[in-house]
Amino acid sequence: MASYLIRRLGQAAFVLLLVSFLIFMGVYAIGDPVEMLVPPDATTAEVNRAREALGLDQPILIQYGLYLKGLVQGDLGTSFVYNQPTIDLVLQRLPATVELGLTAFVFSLIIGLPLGLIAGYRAGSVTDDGIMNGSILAYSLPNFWQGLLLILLFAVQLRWLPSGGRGDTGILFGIETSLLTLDGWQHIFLPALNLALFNSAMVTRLTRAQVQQAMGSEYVRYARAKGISERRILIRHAFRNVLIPLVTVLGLELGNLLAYGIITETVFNWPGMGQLLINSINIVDRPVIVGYLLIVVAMFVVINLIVDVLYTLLDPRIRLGGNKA
Amino acid sequence: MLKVDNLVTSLHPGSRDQVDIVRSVSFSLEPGQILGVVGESGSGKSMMAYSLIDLLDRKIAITGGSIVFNGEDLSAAKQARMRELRGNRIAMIFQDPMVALNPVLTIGEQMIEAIQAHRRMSRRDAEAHAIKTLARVGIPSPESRMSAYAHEFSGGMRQRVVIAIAFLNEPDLIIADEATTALDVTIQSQILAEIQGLAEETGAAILWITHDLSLLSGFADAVMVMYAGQVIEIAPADRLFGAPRHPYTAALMRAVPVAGRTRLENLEGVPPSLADLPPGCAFAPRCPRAQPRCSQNVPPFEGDTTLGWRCFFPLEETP
Ligand SMILES: Nc1ncnc2c1ncn2[C@@H]1O[C@H](COP(=O)(O)OP(=O)(O)OP(=O)(O)O)[C@@H](O)[C@H]1O
Ligand code: SF4
Ligand SMILES: [Mg+2]
Repeated sequence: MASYLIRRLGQAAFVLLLVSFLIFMGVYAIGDPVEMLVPPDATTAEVNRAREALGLDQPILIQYGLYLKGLVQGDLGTSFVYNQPTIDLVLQRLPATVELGLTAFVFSLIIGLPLGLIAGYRAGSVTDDGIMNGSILAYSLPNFWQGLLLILLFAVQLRWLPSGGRGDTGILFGIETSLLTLDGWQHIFLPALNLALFNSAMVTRLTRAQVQQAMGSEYVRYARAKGISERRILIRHAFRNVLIPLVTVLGLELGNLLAYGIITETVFNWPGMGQLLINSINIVDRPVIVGYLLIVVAMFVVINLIVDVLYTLLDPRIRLGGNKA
Repeated sequence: MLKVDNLVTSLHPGSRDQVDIVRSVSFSLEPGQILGVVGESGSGKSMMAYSLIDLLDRKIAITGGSIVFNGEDLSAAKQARMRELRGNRIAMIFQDPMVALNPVLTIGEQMIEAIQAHRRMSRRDAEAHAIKTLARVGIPSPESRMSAYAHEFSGGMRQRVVIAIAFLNEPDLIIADEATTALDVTIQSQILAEIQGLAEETGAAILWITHDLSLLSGFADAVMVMYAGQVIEIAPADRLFGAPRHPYTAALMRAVPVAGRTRLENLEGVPPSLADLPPGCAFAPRCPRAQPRCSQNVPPFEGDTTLGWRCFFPLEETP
């Protein structure tokens, strides 16, 4: 176990290094931040001074080397624009984004798993058709449009829920969260639902396909031959097997929800990472872009590790490290 | 105890594509008796077995005949009633325990659930009963094996686990479908001997399905031979092995069984497609005794459910 974790950490460090290099070079290719930062009528001398101040006069590889040196000390650099440490900028907004992503993830499971189970168990029935058609809707309508519809219905027409913003928050383990107050829940419900819809359709369809396959398997026939109830066959025999392929995909889903809820954040005016990232890209604020994406990659790496550990817990045939028993 | 009368099971019943895959099968079984069912691949053995316990796939259904088990007609029984009987009064053993056992649940859980599905028994008592039954079929250190998974057993031990599960609720009838086909010969004969002992001890009747006729000699009390969904001969075992009447049975006896194979090595041709049967005797295209009449009329079944055959020109009683 320990050697496995060390190996995984080594892999993770390598991935982070590679990603940081690619993004660093990518942002360099997008454009020159100095041109964005100085006033349009600045003199060449002023531009050069700004360039020097930001360290942008150095060759790109040296710049990258300096960035890495900071990185290993936990320093993600200072924003060109806000003149604040990147880490502070990100940490101010990250809790809201993570909270929205996690809530949306839980919503997508609450919606997707039962629907997938029912559709898979009753594959080919009217219920199945209904669920599948509904999922195509959630799948194909653009996310922002679904968000606007939700706002129109629940905020404008019915006036049940607010149309945007974060609402009151409480503090849990030193982190601000909406999930402790009613007002917070009222604010997070619609954006989380919006963000969850696409994924709940994914979860539904995947669960359905897996359940349908499992219900036709020999072990289900055998369980029936033992006189086990259909309910137990579905929940214990089939679902327990379905969880194994599901967990991998759910891990990726969670990563996506955490990283790319930008559209929903914009539609619902949610004070998360989205706004910061879009602004930073517009003005080529390299430390913020690179820092944010590194955090995203780190989240994916952690989620992947959790998925792998869950895998070994769920499938007795697999041992840590990936070799089949 | 079990009386099957003219059972017909069909694919796509009631539609224009209806194909009968079990065609008018009749036999009966008494407590403690072992009836061997033999036939080539596709002859309808498994479908006949699944018909008895309501395990047929959705597009396949019983379309005729009756199944009377302990005085109750199962072909008319409700699903809930069939679930009560399955694993309780009628148990089934499948060919490949590696795929029949759930790969991600422990053996213990799969045994305990089989007990608790049919009896009000505490978890602890069910566990003790499961361990006792594992010991009975010759599984060493059964307590510790309860928490093991299917892939952690050898092939022979895995099949013993499945046999233990079949005997858990002391059923009246056990249906074994190719239960030892995947095993090597020494383990196969050990297991057959154990099954015989258990059947004697508990009084369970056994329907033993196999494609290997030779396996049944010295094991089965009676043998039923199936071809293209029909019973073409049924007889007490010593009689059938001593003097088979149907040319197909005789051919089966000459066939050399090859482990794991269901094809007959010295019989030309393949069984007919059920969707496209020849007009007369289904075996006529391959039969060495066939006469013109055989391809015109279907031979009727001569005899009763303990001794009979379906052939116009049966072999002599004493060859
Ligand atoms: N699910 C199914 N759908 C359609 N046809 C089927 C299905 N299962 C079986 N059949 C057909 O029913 C017939 C009888 O099959 P069955 O499985 O009972 O044969 P078997 O004697 O058990 O053969 P084997 O020795 O290969 O197990 C075959 O012609 C087969 O093609
Ligand atoms: S009826 Fe004719 S073809 Fe059929 S088994 Fe008997 S002899 Fe052969
Ligand atoms: Mg079969």
